[in-house]
Amino acid sequence: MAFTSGTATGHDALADALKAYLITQSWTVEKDEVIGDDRFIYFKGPDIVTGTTTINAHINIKVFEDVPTDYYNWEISGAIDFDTNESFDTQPQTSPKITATARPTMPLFQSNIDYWFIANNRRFIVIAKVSTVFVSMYGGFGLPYATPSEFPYPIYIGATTPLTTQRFSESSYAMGGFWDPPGPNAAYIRHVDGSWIDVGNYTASGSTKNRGIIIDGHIWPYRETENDQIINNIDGSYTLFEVIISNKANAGNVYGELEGVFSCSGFANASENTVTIGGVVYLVIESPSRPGVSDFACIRLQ
Amino acid sequence: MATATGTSTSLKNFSDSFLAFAVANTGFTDAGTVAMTAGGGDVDAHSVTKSGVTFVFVTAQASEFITNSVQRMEMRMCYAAPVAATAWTVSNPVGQQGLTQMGVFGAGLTFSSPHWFFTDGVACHAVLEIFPNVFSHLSFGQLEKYGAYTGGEYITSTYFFAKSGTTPFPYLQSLSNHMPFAESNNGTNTGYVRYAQGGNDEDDFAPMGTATNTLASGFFQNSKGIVHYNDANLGPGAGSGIVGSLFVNSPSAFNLRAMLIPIRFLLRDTTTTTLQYHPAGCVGGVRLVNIKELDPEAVIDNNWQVFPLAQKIGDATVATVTANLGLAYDTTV
Repeated sequence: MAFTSGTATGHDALADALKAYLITQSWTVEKDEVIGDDRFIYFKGPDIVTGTTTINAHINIKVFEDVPTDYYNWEISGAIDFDTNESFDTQPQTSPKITATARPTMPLFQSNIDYWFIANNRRFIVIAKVSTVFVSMYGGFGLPYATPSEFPYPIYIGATTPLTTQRFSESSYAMGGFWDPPGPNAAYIRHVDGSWIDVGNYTASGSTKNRGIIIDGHIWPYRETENDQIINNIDGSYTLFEVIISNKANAGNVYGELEGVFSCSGFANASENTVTIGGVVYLVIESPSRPGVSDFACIRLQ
Repeated sequence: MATATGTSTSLKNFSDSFLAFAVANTGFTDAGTVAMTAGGGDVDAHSVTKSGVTFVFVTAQASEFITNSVQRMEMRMCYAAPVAATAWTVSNPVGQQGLTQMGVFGAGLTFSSPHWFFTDGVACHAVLEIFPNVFSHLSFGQLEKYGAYTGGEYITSTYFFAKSGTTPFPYLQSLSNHMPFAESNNGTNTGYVRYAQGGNDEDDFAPMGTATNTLASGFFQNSKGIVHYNDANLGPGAGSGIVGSLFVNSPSAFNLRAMLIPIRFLLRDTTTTTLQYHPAGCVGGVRLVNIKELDPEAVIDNNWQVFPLAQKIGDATVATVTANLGLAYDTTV
C-alpha cells in the first residue's frame, strides 16, 4: 500500500507511525536514537538501480520539543549517505542549517494528529493535521528533467516553515507547504555540483504573500502571481498542474517535478476533499490553513 | 497523425496546402473557396469545417492585405461558410468578432518558402519560413479540453505589425503584435478560443489577451495564452506570464536541456466581474521552448522540431528578432 492514514497522539507518536509505515515500504531505519531531550531518526530509501549505479534517498528527522514555549516539532534534513559516527548536523553532505533555528520544519503538537503518509522507493510525503492546520513535508527524489548521469542525486527536502522553533498556530506567511514554501530555509534541492539550493516562493513573514523575495530556487506554478486567478474547470472539475522546481542562479536551471504532487485550484475546494482523475485518487490539502485559490495542492494517494 | 513539408508560393498557396493537409489528416471537411469583397478589392475565402465550426482563411487577390510591408492572411472562426460576393467583415459570416491574422514580413504576393505541417489529429500546426531563418506560425483546431464545455476550438498565429516608417522592425512594439499561443496587446490580430455562452453567437468567441467581449449578460469574455509578450515586459530571451519563469530558467545550465513547456489556454469566468480564469485546455503536439542552445529546425528529444517565433538572430530590418523564443512541434504525432 503506497499510502496510509491514521491518527497519532503527539509528534513523537507520529514519528513512530511514520517509522513503522516506511519499514513496510522497504525503507530502512539506519538509526533511531535519543540524545538528551531530542530524538534523531535516520531513514534510508530502497535501492534505486540505474545501470551499475545504486542510489538511496537519505532523509533524517529530528523530533524535539520545548514545553515552556509549547512547540513540538520535526526538523528535516537530507543527506547523500549515512554515517553512524556523525551527528544529525554532520551527516554526509547534509542539507544546510544556516543558523541554530533555520531548517525545514514541521510544527506539530502533543495532541491527536490526523496524518497521511505517502511513499515509494524515491520519496515520502507526510501530511499532518494539527488542530485545524495542515503541515507537511517531502523528503526524497523528484522527477528530474535529466538523465541519471546528468543529475545523479536529485533530492529535495521541503517542509512547512524555516523556523525550527515555530509553533503550529503561527498564522503568518512564515508557514507554508512544501509545494509552496516560504523562504529562505524551508526547502532545498541538491544541485548537480553538490550544493544545496534554497527554494522559497515568498518571504517567510507577514500577513500578505510577498513574492518579491530574492531567493534562487522557486516552485511553479505557485511562484507566479497569475496562479492566483486560476479557478476550477468550467464544468466544476479540477485540472491538476505539475509542480516544478527551477532555479534562476547559475544561468538558470529547471530541475524537474515533485513526484505525485500537483497544483490544484482552491476555488470551491477544501482540504481533505479528494479528486479522482482516471481512477487515481488525489488528496486536496491547503497550505497550511489558508484556503486561498492558489494555496492548495493535490497529493496522489498511491 | 501526420507531418508534411513542402514549398509555398503565396499565402493563398500556403493556406490551400495547409487546409488540404487538415482535411486529409485532422477530420476537417473542405467547405470550398469563394470570392468575397474587401476594402481594396476581391479576396479568396477558403473554409474548412468540423463539428459545426467553420475556419475561414482569407487571402488577397491584390495588394489590399499589405500594410507597412507586412502581407497578411485574415482568419476567423465562424458558424457558417462565407457566401460568394458578400463582404468579408468581422461579422460576416457570424463568428469571432475580430480577425486572427498571419503576417509575413516584406514578402510580395508571391514567394518561394519552405513550410512544415504537423497534426495530432486534433490540432493542426504550420510553420512558414518566409526568408531563410525567418519563420511565421499558424495553428488551429481543437484543444485537449479540461473538463466538459461547449467549445474548445481555437485559432492563433504570428502577426507582427510594423509601425509606419519604423525600421528596423522593433523587437515587439506596443501595438497590434500577436504571438502564437499568447496574448496580443490589444484586441486586433489576435487568437480566439470558442466558449459558447448560450446568447448571441458573437459572444461565443473569446479573444486572447487584454481585449474582451462584453457579453449580452453584461460580463466579459476573453482568454489567456501561455505567456505575455509586449515590449514592456519581454526583452530578447525573456518571458513573463504564468510560464515565464520556466522559460527564462531554461535551458538548464547543467545539461543544456530546455523544458518543453505545455501550451495551455485559460478562459475567463463569464459569470462574475472578478478576474478569474478556468483552465480551458492544452494544445496537442506543440510546446514553448527556449532555443538558446538550439538551431532553427533542429530536432530534439528524438521527435520535437524547433523553430524560432520569427528569427533567432539576424537582420532586424528584415524581420523582428525574437531571440530565444521558440516553438517545438511533435514530428511523430
